[in-house]
Amino acid sequence: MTANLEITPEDLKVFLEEAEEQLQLLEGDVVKLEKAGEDAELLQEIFRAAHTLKGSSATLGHQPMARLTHSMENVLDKVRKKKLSPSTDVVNLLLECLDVLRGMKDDIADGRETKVDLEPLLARLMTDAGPATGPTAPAPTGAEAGGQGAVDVAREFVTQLSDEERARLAAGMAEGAQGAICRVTFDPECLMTSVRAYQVLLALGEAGQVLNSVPSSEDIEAEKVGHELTAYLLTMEDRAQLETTVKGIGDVTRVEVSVAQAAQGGPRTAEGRVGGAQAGGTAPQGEAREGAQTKKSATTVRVDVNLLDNLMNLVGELVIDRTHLAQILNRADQAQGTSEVTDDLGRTSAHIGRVTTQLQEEIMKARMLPIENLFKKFPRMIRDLALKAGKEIDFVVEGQETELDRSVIEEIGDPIMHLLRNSVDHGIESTADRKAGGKPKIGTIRLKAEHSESHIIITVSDDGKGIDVEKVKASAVRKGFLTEAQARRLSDKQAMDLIFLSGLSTAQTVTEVSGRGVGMDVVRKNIERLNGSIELHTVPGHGTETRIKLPLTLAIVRALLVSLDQSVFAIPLTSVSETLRLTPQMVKTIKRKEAIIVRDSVLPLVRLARVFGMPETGNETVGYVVVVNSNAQRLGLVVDGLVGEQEVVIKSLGGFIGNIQGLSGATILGEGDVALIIDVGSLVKPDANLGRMGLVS
Amino acid sequence: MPKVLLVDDADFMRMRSAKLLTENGYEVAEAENGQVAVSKYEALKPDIVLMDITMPVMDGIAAVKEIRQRDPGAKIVMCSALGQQTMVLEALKAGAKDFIVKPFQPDKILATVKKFAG
Repeated sequence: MTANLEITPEDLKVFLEEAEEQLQLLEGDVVKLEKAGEDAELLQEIFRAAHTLKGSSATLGHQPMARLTHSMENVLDKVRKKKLSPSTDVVNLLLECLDVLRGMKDDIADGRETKVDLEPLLARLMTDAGPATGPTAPAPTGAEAGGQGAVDVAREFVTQLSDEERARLAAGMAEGAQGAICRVTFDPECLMTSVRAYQVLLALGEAGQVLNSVPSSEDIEAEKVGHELTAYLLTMEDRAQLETTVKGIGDVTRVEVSVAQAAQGGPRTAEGRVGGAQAGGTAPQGEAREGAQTKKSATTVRVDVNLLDNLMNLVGELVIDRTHLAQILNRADQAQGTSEVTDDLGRTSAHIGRVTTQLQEEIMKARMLPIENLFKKFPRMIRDLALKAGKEIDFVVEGQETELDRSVIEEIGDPIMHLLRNSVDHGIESTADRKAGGKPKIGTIRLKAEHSESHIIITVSDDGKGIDVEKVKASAVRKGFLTEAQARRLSDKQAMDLIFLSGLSTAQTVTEVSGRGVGMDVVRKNIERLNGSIELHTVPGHGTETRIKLPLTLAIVRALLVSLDQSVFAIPLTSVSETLRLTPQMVKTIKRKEAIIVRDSVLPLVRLARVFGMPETGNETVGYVVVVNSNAQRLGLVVDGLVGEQEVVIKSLGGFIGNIQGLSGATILGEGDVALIIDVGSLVKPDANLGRMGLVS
Repeated sequence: MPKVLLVDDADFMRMRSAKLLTENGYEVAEAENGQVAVSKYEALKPDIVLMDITMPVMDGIAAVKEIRQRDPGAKIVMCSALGQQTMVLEALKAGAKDFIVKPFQPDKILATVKKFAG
């Protein structure tokens, strides 16, 4: 028997993943608990998660974690039994425990020894939430019948049985059964003596009829059990058989059976009914268990993310080959005309095409996660921030079930967190200000996710004080981003865009949370790196809404293919707003820079060939203009020709090429040619090598 | 080779027990909740079931009742945590044969499984 099992890294990984899951679940639920109060179902879920965590950490042999979860469970139990209400203090304490647990979990992950001193926290769990009522420590009942080795079996029967029980004994003995006294001693280390005692009674019940026991079955169920049990029964089995039966039960260290002789049995037969309920009967429902839910359990397998990434990559290759195959077919058709072979090839190729498309869709789906995984960490954050800022905030989350690519989920956490913090800190006013402004006392912050075609829209909104455009302008002027005259010329929308400048903050006081002026620029950069866009709407006095639009996946993007000289470039369609044929009269020169006027707005013109140092066609007024949008600015990109629209699989340029201004990656086209993907965002950046045509050109 | 059905909603617990039992020559099947356990029991007819108590969808006690209703001879051992006396009692009344107290103690698990499944 190998009873000592090594914990392998794989085991540990499962443990860590599961622990993280439980911690996240707990965190969300505990925050909900504060509002929901004594919601039995919620408490049950919390309880179960804490319980799983306790079990797993004990199995891992991590005592501190097991101890802490155990203490938490005690507190939760009191809440469940309505002996304690889930006040802010209690919730704070529980959340603190979760933080410590997460710290321990991280320590395990990093192979560090946990150095947290748990005692203060454990002590608070005992005191803040009242003295713990450990589930162990059963109160022993001293009523031990007779001394050990007492042989006067008959007399003991007389003293321990009621009249009715004696009647049953007498009746049984008349039919040839015998009275027996069974004394059982349990291991003092036994963890659940009451259950063991109950097992003994059940086993004896099968071997005969238990008339009475000390402690009684009622006491046993109430967990009033010491380490000994004496049972009085009527049985057809002999001493040895009884002893074997009882010894087979766990934690039984000693069994002593005395049998009363038939002649001596039933000393005084009183009148009474024979039969009656056997020991046990139906026990009162102890703890409220959750009902069998009808939720169907899905059969799932855990898969390494890398595996999914690899699959996605392979499918990307397949997509390229599929296009290539179609082209080969075309060539064959042209060279030899349609034959049986090319016909077959055509059909097969079409089939491969369909299958590949399906495969691509399925793998995309496999990479999708509900955004809930990300959203569930925010309620806790908002709660803590609001508490710290002394504000009352209602946090509403919608569309948690919306699914998107896990790589996108990983990337948008920080930007969303930042927006939410801004809302708590700058958006929602203090309770006094809200009252003065005639608004509801409790502010509302909404976080919403929804699908819209092949995009996901995430909205963060608040009913706070909104953003004062004039303040934004003033701050930008003060910090030297633009002159006062320039500021005056800005439209409100353009002024709002100033918020996305690095180093601009309108917060009067810098708080721990936000207001250091780093933030919105980083938020926008992050979003645009994901081929997404961000928009901000504000109504002074009524609140602010920020909309983030993101593609569902990062791996594949629809792109406009354009030609420059002999090469093909791809421009993500998310940033393309329109295309125009370039005519000589369109091009104007403003401040020595080329520009075009499209429907009354001036767009700087960027000749891509010049940006990438490629030969130009010579005729500067022939070609097309692709109007792109980024950083809320529009720009005209001059290209030689438009090739078409296509889904492209994004590949990184690789380390040896490095980060090239204006390019975000590459893709392989059907013919096997490489097309570079244009990074529109970096072309409009004011510090790009295109000169300062940024913000207020 | 005796067959053991492990029922626990915690992957980690299942994994540890499965490893222990497989290494000691048992055939192991797993279920992540009571409902799955009931259907797997019918399909596999294991010699013994190790059953967790608190689980989503269908808890261990309900599962014991379901399984015993279909097979009165089913050998089910509850895996309980401290503090679940009441539930273990209920499970025993419903026909569970024995119980093991978590945390995971390899020798106890093996001894119990051996007792019922050989």
